[in-house]
Amino acid sequence: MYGIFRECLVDLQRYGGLGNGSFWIIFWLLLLISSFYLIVKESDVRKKIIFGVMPFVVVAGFLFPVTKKLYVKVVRIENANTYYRILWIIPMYVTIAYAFTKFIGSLNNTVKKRIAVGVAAVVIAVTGSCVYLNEHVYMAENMYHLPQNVIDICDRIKPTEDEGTVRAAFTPELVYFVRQYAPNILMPYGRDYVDHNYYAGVLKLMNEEGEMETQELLYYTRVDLDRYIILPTDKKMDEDITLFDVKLACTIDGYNIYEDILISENREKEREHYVNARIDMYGE
Amino acid sequence: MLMTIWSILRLVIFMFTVPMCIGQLFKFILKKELRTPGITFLLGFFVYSGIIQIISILCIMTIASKPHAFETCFKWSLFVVLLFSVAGIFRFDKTMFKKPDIKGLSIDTKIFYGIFFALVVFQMVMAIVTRIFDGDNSYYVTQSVIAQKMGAMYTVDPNKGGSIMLDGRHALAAIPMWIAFIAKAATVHSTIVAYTAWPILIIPLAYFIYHEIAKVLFADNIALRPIFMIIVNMLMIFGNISIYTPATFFLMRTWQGKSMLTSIAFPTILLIFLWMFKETGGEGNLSLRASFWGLLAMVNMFSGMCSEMGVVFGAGLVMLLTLVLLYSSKRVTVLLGAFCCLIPNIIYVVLYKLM
Repeated sequence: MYGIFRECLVDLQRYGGLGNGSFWIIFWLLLLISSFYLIVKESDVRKKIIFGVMPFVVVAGFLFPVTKKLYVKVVRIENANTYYRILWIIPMYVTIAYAFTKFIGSLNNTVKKRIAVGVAAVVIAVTGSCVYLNEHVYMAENMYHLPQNVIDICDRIKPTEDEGTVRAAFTPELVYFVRQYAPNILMPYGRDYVDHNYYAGVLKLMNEEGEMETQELLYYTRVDLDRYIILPTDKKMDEDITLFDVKLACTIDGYNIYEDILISENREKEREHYVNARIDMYGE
Repeated sequence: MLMTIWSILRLVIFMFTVPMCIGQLFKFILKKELRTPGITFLLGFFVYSGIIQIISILCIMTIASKPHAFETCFKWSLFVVLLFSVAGIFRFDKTMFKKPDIKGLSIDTKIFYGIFFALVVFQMVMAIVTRIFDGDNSYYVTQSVIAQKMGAMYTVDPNKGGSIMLDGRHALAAIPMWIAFIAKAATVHSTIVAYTAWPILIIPLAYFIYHEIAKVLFADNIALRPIFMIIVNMLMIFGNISIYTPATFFLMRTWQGKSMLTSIAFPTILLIFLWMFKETGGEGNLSLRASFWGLLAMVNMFSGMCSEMGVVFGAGLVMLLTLVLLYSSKRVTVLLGAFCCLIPNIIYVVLYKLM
């Protein structure tokens, strides 16, 4: 039980910013001081319960090991990492803002009120972390809010509606965006493979540092019938890929787009021969 | 150029005009004082989501495996949405659109309101000019794109492509189908709708709900409302202390169901209970109380549409607040109201068991 309590406590700390460069305790202190202030100052007993008592009750329930055991039983073990969402039912922002505002309202001087609003804003800004300074926030390059290079590459390779679908192997950093733009481009591995370290031959090669083994790459992409292979221009390969019935279709925004002629020209026997000749070497 | 203007116009119609018209049709369930443009819009928003949700789930459960399932879903949704909207136009009450009386406000209050509006506009502008990376978008946004472009409903793998078995767990949280519906109706790419257009609807709507909460909390002190709103805005903008907070979800994943669960559904549940607390003085009649529970049922439906977890957490929040209402009103009938408003959650649990 103590072990589960520790897990819950870590979840609570992470929610407050542990491991994110923030002092996790500050956010919780802000909430608990606000709740405590409302317990003391709020005259309406219902608001006192909701904004004063409820946060304490939910946090206590969250830290109670049996709650976590029940939660995991209901949502299944693979979703146990969503336990923190229980904390969402605390009306945190309303509670903190209500306490701050109630305090500001209790000041009897206009100047003091103005200063208090400024101080409150500064306290929140200093103790918090600005959403727009997050490392994952970038300036949008287009209305799709996708990297422009992905759109340029997809525009070059995506089939028309009559052509159906096309298969292409992208480097891991691009797979997140490809199908958000062009769902008729199919890939040998997707974002789930990258995020959860699932195995895919192409992904294994893409992730390897140093020279990429050209014949092995082509083995995997030809098994998967990938017509296009998209690689960074600085990616080194042990053999020239264009010696294996592959042509450099174009270079876009730092990526080489290779087109596999065996697949685009539907030379099925040669493709099969290539794959069968290497199945003992690279086959899974 | 003309096509672009026509698409933008349809986006405005399906994101703003339709909820307002549907709200006009159903505003009779609201108490007279609550029949304001904002609350009517909010009501329309929930009914609109309910229409899409019911039709989407019916299609998912019956024809999801058929090619172009979304086409059928879209046609039925469009028919019902337009029917309700047109009916709403006939019941449109123009008198509710009054110019707010700001003459009585002090200079300080006006300045604070100005700061509040500026902060909201700032967040809307940032939503348009910034691109925010989140891995889950590859799932949710792609589901909308697949539905719009390929006609499939949760039967195509969003990550790699190719057919998959119906993903029941995610399919019942039909927010991506709503985005796909609007995208198809406006002939705009779903990705643009999700990332660029959707926040223009959701960000002000969320702050409108918080402002309604402020109106209840500071019923007799208008001057404190903008101060409350500035603090809420600051908590949101500076709320990225971790990836788990509602603020992070609200501004970094605005288009995802979980985000709307915390920024729209939960604050609305709180707001409705605050309204009900006001009515516990005794003068509230049965139909008025029923209207609050009915509204709550719609919010609970929306919670289910947002996320699988929303079904449980929404019910948990309702139950906690019902206990407070029971304590303050001393009326056992509130338990009946709470049970009725949780029927959508119960249906969702059954559906999850079936899928």
